[in-house]
Order: sequence, then structure tokens, then C-alpha cells
Amino acid sequence: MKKTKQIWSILPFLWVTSVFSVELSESDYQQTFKQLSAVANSEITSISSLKQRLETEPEVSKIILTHQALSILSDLSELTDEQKKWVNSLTSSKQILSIISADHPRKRMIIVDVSRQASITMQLWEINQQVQQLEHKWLSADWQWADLVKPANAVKKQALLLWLTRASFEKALEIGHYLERNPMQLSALSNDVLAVIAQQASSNALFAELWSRSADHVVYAMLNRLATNLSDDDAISQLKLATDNPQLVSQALFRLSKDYGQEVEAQHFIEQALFDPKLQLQMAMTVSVIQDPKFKDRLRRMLADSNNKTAKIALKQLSKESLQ
Amino acid sequence: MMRFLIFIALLTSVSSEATTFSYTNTDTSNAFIPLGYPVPEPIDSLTPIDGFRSYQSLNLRHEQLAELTDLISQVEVGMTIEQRPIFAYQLGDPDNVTHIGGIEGAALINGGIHAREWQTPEATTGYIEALFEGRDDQHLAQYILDNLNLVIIPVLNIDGFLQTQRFASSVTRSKSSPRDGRMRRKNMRGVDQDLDTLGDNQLGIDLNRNNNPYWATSSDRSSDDPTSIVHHGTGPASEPEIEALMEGAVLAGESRLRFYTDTHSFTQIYFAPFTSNTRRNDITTALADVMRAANNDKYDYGPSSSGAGIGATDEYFANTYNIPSYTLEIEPQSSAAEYGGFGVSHDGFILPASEVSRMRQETTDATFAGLYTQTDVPFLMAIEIWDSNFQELQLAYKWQVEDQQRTLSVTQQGELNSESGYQLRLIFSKPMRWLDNQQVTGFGDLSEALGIDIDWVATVNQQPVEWSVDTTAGEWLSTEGFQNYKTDTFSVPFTVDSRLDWQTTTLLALRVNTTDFAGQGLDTNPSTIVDWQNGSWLNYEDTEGSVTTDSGGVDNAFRLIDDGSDLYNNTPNTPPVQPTPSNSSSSGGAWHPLLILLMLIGFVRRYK
Repeated sequence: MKKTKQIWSILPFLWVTSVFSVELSESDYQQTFKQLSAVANSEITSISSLKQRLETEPEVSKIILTHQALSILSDLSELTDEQKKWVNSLTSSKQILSIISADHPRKRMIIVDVSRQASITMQLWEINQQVQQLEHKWLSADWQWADLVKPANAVKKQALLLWLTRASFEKALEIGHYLERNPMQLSALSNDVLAVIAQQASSNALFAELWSRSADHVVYAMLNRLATNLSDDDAISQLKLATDNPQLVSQALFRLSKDYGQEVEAQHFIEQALFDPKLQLQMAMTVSVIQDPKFKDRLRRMLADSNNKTAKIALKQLSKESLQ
Repeated sequence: MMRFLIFIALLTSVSSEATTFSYTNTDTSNAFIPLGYPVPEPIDSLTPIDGFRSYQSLNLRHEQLAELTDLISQVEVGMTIEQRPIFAYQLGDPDNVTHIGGIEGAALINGGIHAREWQTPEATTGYIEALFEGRDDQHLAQYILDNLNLVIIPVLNIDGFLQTQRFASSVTRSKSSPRDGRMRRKNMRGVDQDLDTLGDNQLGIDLNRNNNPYWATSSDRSSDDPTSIVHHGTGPASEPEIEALMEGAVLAGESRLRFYTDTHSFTQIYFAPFTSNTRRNDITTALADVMRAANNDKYDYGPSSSGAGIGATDEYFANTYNIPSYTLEIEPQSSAAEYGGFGVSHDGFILPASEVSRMRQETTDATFAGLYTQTDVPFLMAIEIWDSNFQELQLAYKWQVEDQQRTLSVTQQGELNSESGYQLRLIFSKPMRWLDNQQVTGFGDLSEALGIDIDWVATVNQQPVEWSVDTTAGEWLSTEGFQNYKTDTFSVPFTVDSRLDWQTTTLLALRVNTTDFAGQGLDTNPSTIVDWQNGSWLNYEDTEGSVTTDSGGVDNAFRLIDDGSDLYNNTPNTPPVQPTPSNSSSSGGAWHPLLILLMLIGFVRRYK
């Protein structure tokens, strides 16, 4: 009762703009959130108990408790019918909680939209269930390679990506070997699916396929974190290969310089790149991120007698400290 | 029973204060915030990508472009709290003179003032890249570089930006109201780089509240609490980053400033503070319409009343320099749900990487349209009349600068014969049409692809004679034949009216009604040179000769035969005055004293 009174005491700060849309200050939201956490701990026993509780709470508390419950439910992989039914009923809710936001240009920011959150929870359930189904298919004799190449819809695609992200090295390797033996199916894979498999399997062949494609945000991100996925020797080979794709030249040279600038093979490539017309313009700027001081000295000596513009740019960059 | 206990345990755990949360695509847990799309990470790349570049590579990219052309110069304008140099980039040709002999105006654009707004460094870098790539395009980019002194500070709050990139998927405090890490907004005053030091996560100064004239005057959108997300600091311009911004204005040339934009995200709107100068306010609104039209009015417009503010930089520039000043809030409008994401709290600051290239192009188009508009107003600079086969130039007239004004000079003497066909070329002072894949197009509802009316107005044997030119038979020249920039020349065939007798004609003038692609009318009296002063255009005459409407109008000033009548009141009351033939392409040549006297009489009568 005492905590309920405390919640009621903040009502003067509430500004109800419509029947189910509620706005309050950020500090009051934080305070209420904490109070309700303690309340939820002692009061909630089941969905039916939760629903009973919600009927007695003021609008703000209802929305926050619902938000908290949905957050938990979205993380579960097995759900009761009662839970599913309750969440589904919320997809048509009009409950919205905004905070008065001094930094937002419109002065208010929606932080809980129950209908949207319920829909997301349903979607996340569906994804988690699909992930379980994929795992079951893989372990049984029911696996369909078409599920890999052409997921039937967006949810199945998201589930596939999540399943692949959690795949063991052995599983990813098996998938990778299948794709290498079936080039038509390999070429039909989307970039994001290919990237995850290549990453999980640490597959040189699949990475090489990825760099040969028209680059998108997936390809750029995967190239950027190559060092975490491959051995140094393999990563250097892959980065050199990536420079064959004009879209990836700058990123590949950056990684070679920044992550592998102390390795002999990378150093040889960098030296050659400074005189390769296709690479020298990008390489001249990128030398500034090389950390190995001896290599930088060697590059300075190598470039000292050169009069061309890119050599001068490179010399200028070699004299600077790297900005971070 | 077991499920219920797990449910309770999880409900309890999410209620307790988790310190750090991580953004994910679809992974869920107590400490995860699933976005519904891949979490963008900073990519090391000099060249633009579909995604966000690291600060290190953005900075190197700016330097690279400055190395490759004299049109871009790097200038250090200050240091951050953590002692990093803040760079501004000056873009434009080395002189401060426009291609028509005027003094260049200046513009300043700022990005990266709020650390978590990753859209903005990519947008401002996109402007620099587009100007570099288009420096010889003989259209918009080259026009801006030739005629404007543009200064861009691509990333102002470098320390804060680096903090967000250091923790590209981590935030603290709460899932619904995250602070620090990826969601840091303020600078790094009083903050270490360690996300686990919770005590300083909410410190720092909001650089967009640290400005005069309204510093610390807003009780609900600015705060003296150091932990507030809108903490305004200890005094106006207390922060070195704001001092650097002011230095950027000095670099641009404070007395020549005529445009300012502070780039932010999100909300998809142009905010603009009004001042007590209503002409400036009207121009600000019209200019916002131009920039919005470049993106098919996708962006809203939100002016705010004069006399009050929150301490933002756009208020400072509007009130200090009397110029159109904006806070551009880049997309999305309300959340990343607009791109198929889950729409979680604050995800508007996390634009999906797949949207970055498009965003960069759209903001570049809009900003270039705005810069183009404020660079100068259009006027009809010269005309050429060729024979119908373009073999021989028959007549040519040009407005030429002498001292502080222009005079209309004949650069090719000749006559027109009645009922004869000719080719007319009208040469304007700037590119007049938008190009889409090199095709001349309209621009929103501000201009049409053709959009020009031409009439001849004459007095023959003391009788008024007028006839129209069929402009649908003409074209804006965009591949060859233009004077300086694509679409600065309109070419059209015409036939001289049968009533025209050159010997008995006392007045023969062109009446030209068109606008530049932003909808700005022609300066109808090119003899007075337009400039920007005190928040509005100076000497920008409209159809009636008024200089206070800032709209321009229909140009009647091109008089091949001048009866000396008032430009804005066609009452012939003096003997005809012949324009003086020019001895060279760049000067007015020698003037007979009697002619000078007669012209002075005509000049005085025109302006009485």
C-alpha cells in the first residue's frame, strides 16, 4: 500500500494527453521504474496474477509493468498458451509512454509503445522458435539446403542468421564444405548469410567469394573484423585478395596497415601498393596508421627519392602521429 | 511451476539495475537491446561506404581530399577537451571574387556536435566529397566552389564521437533511457573513457546549449545540473569546441557570412530560429523550402519565435550575424522502425548502415541547393543574337562591371531586320536549372524544366510594339554552348516582328521572366550590384524596382535601343541614348563626354 501511495504521489507530474498516451519527466520515469521493480518482485505470480495487478495500477505503472513483462517474455524460447494469448492481445493496445525529453527536438521521446513492443515480442518468439526448428532439422534427417539459400520470409531469414551466428565451428565447416561443392547454391546465397557462414567456419574460400561480390554494408563490416575470424596469415591473404575489388581497396589497405603492419608479408604488399597505380592513392594516406616504427622508417627511406605526388603524400603521413 | 519460477526470476533480474546493455540484431537477453537490424559499427575506410566510417578514417579522408586539390584547405580551429585538434575545411577557389566580379559571400556548416548522431559526420563528409568530385562539373559544385567561401567543420565533438565509436554497441543506465557509450551526446568534460566508471557516465557539456544569446535561459530545455543531458556548462562558449566553431566563422569571414547549418539527427526537420529581422526570417523560410524541395519535401520545417531560445548554435549565428541559420535534424522522423527495425527507444540515433549512402546523397542535394541559392541571385548577364544558322554573330550586349556598378555595353554592334529569323542566346549569371542524370528538370514546385518567357518590347514610330518568343522551341544548354556553367544559357530561335524598323525604333528591349531553379527571380536592375547585408539582399530589385522584397522579378533592363525612359516607368521623355560600343571584352572602352552627359541625365531620371 505504501508503495502504491508513493506511485499515486507522482500523479501531479503526469500529463495525460489522451486516454492511453501518457507523458512524464525522465526523472519520474526512472523513479517509477525502480519502484515498480520492487513491486513486481513481490506481487507478480503468473499472467493471470499480472493481469489482476495491472487492473489496479495507474496508467503509468500499467505501461511500465507491461513493458517489463514483455521484455522478459521476448527472451523466452518456450511459452505457455496463456502467455502467447496475452501478448497477442497487446498488439492492438493504444498504450504509449513518453518522457519529456529536454534534448529531443520535439521535446518528447516515446520510450514504451506497448503495441509495437508486443508485436516485436511475437516476432522474437517466432525467430527463437524458428531457430529451434532449424536446429532440430539439422540434427534430424530433415535438413533442406533450400532453407539456407532462399528463406521463405523475413522472419525465417532472421532466424537463419541467428542460428548460423550460434553455429559451432564444426557445423559451420560442414555447411561451408557443402557450399564449396555446390557453386550454384553458393552464388545464390545472400551476402549476409554467406558472411556469417564464412565467419563461423573461418573459411578462406567463402571469404574469397564474399570479397568478389558487389560490396554492401555486410561485406564492409565483415572485412573490418577479419582479424577476429582468421589467423594472421589467412587474414593477410584475404585482405590482399580483397584489394582486387575496387570497392574494398581502402578498407583492405587500412586493415593490412593497422592490424598487420608488423608482419613481413603485409609489409611487402604495402611497399608494392605504394607504387601500384590502382592502390597508391589510398595507400599513401593509410601509411599513417602503421604502428611498426622500423617499418615506417624503411618506408621513409624508400620514398625519399621519389618525386611523385603520392610519394610526397605518404611521406607527410609517415611523419605524423596516428590520431586516436 | 518451473516455468513460473524462471519467469519470476527473470522479471526480478530485469528490474534490477543492470549497468551496461548491448545493442544486437535479434539476440535477446536481460542485457541486450535487439534493434531488428545489424548493429552499425565504425568501419575503417577512406572512401565512402554503405555504413559509417571511423573518425580516424574520416579525418584521413578529409586530409586526402585537401592534398589532392587546392580548392580544399585544412585549418586547425581549436582543440577538444582531450586535446585533439579540431579541423575546419575551407572550400573554394583561392580568390574571394565571384566569376562576375563581385565579392564572394561565405557559409559555415558544422557536424558532429552531438556525439551519438552518427549521421552528421557522414553527411558533412559527403558534402566535401561531392564538391571534390564535382569540382569540374561545370554546374552546381563548381559554381559553389567558384563563387562562395565555404567552411565545413565535419566533426566538432571529436572526443564524444570517439567515445561512441569506442563502444559502438554498448550503453549504460537503462534500456529505455540509455546514456554514455553509443548514446553519449555531450562532450567529455569530466568523463573518462572507461564505460564502467559509472559515476561520470552522465557528465559532460551539451555543446548545443553552450551558446549566446540564450545561454541558460530555458528552464525546460537547458540545465545547470552537470548530470543533465542538456547541461549548458559554466558560461556561454565555456567549451573549447564552441570556441573552435566561432573560429570557423572567423575563417569563413564573419562580415561575409550568409548561411549557417548545424547538422544533427534525428527528427527529419529543419529548425530555424527567427529574429526581429522579418526580411531575414522570410529569406530563411524561403531557403528552407529550397532545401526541402531537393528531397521532395521529405523534411519538415520548424521555425521558432524570436526573443527566446535554448542556447543552440543556430540561435547564436542567427542573432549574431543576421543570417539564415538552421539546425538540420537528419532522418529518421521518429525511429528506425521506418526502416524495418523494432523501433526501440533511441534507435533513431542508430541509422541502419544500409541507409547511409542514400542519406548522404539526399543531404548533399539539399545542402547544395541551399548553398547555391545563397551564393548569389540571378541576373541576365549578356545576350547574343546570331544569324539563324549560328554562323555569324549579329549583336551582343553585356553588363560589365565598372567601379561599383555595371553598365550595359555593346560587344558586337549590329541591327535587326524585320521578318528575319535569328538565334537568341540569353546568358545568365549562374546555372539556372537542376540536372538529373545530366537532363534538365524542374525542381520541386519552385521551377519548371523550361520555365522562361521572353518578349520583345519596342517603340516604333512612337507606337508600342510587342511580340513574344516561342520559348518551347528553345533549350537550356547543358552539354555545349553554355557560357560558364551548364544551364546558364538559354538558346532559342526567333523572328523579328514585321513592324520593327530599326531606323525608326526608339526603344527595343527584352523582357525576360524566369527564375533560377530555386525560384529566385531575376535582379531586374543589373546596373546595381547585389550583395548580402544586414540579413537581406541589397540592390536586388524586383519587377517594380523595389529593393525590399528579396524576390527579384521580370527583367526589362536589356535595352538594345534605349530611349532613356525610366526602367520601371516606360515614359519616354529624353532623346534616345545609344549604349556605348566596347573596345575590349573586359572594359567599357572610351566614352564621348556628350554621351556621358546624356547617360547621366538618363541615370538621374531613372532614379528620381
